[in-house]
Amino acid sequence: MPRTKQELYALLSDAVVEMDEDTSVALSNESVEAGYDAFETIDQGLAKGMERAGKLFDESEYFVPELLMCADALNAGVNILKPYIKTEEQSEKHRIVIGVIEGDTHDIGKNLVKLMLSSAGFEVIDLGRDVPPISFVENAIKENAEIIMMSSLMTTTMDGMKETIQLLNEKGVREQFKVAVGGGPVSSGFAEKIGADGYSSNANQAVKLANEWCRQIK
Amino acid sequence: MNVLEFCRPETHPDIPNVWNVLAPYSAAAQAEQGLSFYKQIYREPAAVHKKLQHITNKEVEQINRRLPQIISLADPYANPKTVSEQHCQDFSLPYLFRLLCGLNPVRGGVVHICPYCSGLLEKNKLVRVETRTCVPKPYADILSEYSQAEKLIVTGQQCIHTETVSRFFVLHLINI
Repeated sequence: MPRTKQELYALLSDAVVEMDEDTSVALSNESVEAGYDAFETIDQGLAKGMERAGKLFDESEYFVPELLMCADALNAGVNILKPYIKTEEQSEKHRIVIGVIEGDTHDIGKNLVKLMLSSAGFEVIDLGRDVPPISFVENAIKENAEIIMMSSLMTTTMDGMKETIQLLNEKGVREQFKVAVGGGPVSSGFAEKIGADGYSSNANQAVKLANEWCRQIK
Repeated sequence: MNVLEFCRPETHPDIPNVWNVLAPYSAAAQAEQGLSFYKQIYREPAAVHKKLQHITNKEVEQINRRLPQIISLADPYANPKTVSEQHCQDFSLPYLFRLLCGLNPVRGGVVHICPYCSGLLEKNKLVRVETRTCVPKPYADILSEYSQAEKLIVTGQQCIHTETVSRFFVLHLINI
């Protein structure tokens, strides 16, 4: 007897949490064969699993390596399901420009935030590391992004974040973007001081922040 | 971390040879661009252990050959926000400890270990910590003094950026 949708979604969610790529692929195929909606399978199964993994990360049960493996299990399932998503369900994704500020080349945190944002359905434009403030501004405008996320691991480079916000103000486009900052030496106090809209201390919080802002944008 | 910032030739002209060294785990992670290294650990743990042993051997070889007087040793990819303590115990600590054990003790000089790493070494009973007191002075001065030591000194438990210290911590490796 075939599994019900709910059973299948719950198992898919478990497969992601358990970092089980093979099961994720097998269950995603099963969903396609059963004729279940592909978008719903991602949303209610795989993405829910990633949400649970994020929670475990918050609770220090999971760490970066575990999150990466969960994301791989999620992506393996998404790759199977993607071709079956109906066109009308493919709503336009919210766009985020992300990068490590000029002078800094530490990008583990930024890469993790990028991965979590992509897994949560955002379109992430990654500017890489050692990114000049003007480049954040120009790319955010060019890519029609809604959010700019900057990170830094060195106190000596943090001023670049302030400069980016000043440039947004000078160009008269500050209101077009939500700006979030993060990284080792960055704090919510610093974010407030430089006029950023938000601060996140880890990848999961960054996703929550982006989701919250996108709900406001809608 | 940059020892060179406060061990500048103008303030510490007697230190010609200062190295920032990544512990084997972080050296491997850096070479693999971080995130893919973390996945490799899950997928091919045996291969990763082999790689870590190889890196440890090479680092020991290089340090013993070139004899830097001050080494600042850190493991930024194995920090508590990134990986679990168990993960550190399995993949980072054993190689950090082997690296320290491999250094020639009569070569002199000083190895500073970042506080998180040295804390884990202590917690896992791989080092015994001796507290020494001194007149308040920059931590860099202590490193400078010990750089001239005849036998290798290992320090840790506090940040290398500490501007003034009145006590510092010498780590004695426990042979296991």
